[in-house]
Amino acid sequence: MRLEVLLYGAARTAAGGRSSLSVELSQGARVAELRAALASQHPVLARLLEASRIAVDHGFATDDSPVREGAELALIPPVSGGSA
Amino acid sequence: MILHFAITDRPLDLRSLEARVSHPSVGAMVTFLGLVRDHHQGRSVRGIRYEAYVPMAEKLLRSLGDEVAAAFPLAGLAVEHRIGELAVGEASVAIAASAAHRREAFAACMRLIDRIKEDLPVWKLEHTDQGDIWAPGFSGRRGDP
Repeated sequence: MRLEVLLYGAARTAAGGRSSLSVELSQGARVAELRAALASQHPVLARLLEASRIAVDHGFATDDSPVREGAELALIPPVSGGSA
Repeated sequence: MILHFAITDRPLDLRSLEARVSHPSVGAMVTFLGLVRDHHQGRSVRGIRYEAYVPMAEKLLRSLGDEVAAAFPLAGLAVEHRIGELAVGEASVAIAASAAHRREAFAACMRLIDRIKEDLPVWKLEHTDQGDIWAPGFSGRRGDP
C-alpha cells in the first residue's frame, strides 16, 4: 500500500520544504516497518527519524501500532512548543 | 470544572483566560505567560515562527488539560498556544489555573506547561543572527534532556 506521511518542523526542511512524502508499505505493517521504510525510501529523513515520534490519526503511536490504509500519518520531530 | 483549550494565530490575552477561570469558589489563581526572548544558546533571536500540527495539537492540548485537571482539585484551567510569526516579547503560551487554594493552582500550572513542552506537536523556527534554526526539543524517545 502507498501512504502519505505528513512532515513538520525540521522534517519538512530536511525534505526540501515538502509537506508530505509517500512511502510504500506492505499490508499489515506496523509503525516499526513504517519507520524503516521511511528511512530507506527517503534517506534525507533517516537521521531525524531516530529522534522523532510517529503519530497515527492524531495520537502518538508506538512501534507495534498497526498502520492501516487511510490512516493519517505524521512524522513528529522533537517538539519545542511553550517557552523557556 | 471550567476548562478551555485553544491553538490560535491571534495575540494571546491573559485577562480573558483569567476571566474564564474566575468563580466565587476560587481563592487562588496562578497564571503563566511564555514569551519570545531575544537570545537562545548564544544566538541573538529576532523573532520566532511557531508551527503546529493543528488537529493533533488541539486534541492533545485538550487531553493534557484533562490529565492535569484530573490530577489536582481545580476550579478552572484555561490554556492557549499561539502559532505563526511572533516578535520578541510576545506571548506564545498563556495558562490560567484557579483553585480554592494556592498550592493546587501553582502545581497545576507547572504540570501543564511541562507536559506541553514534552508532547504538544508545536515547533519553533528561530530567526537568529546566524539564520533560521529549528529549536531543539523533546523527542519522547531515547536521549532526551
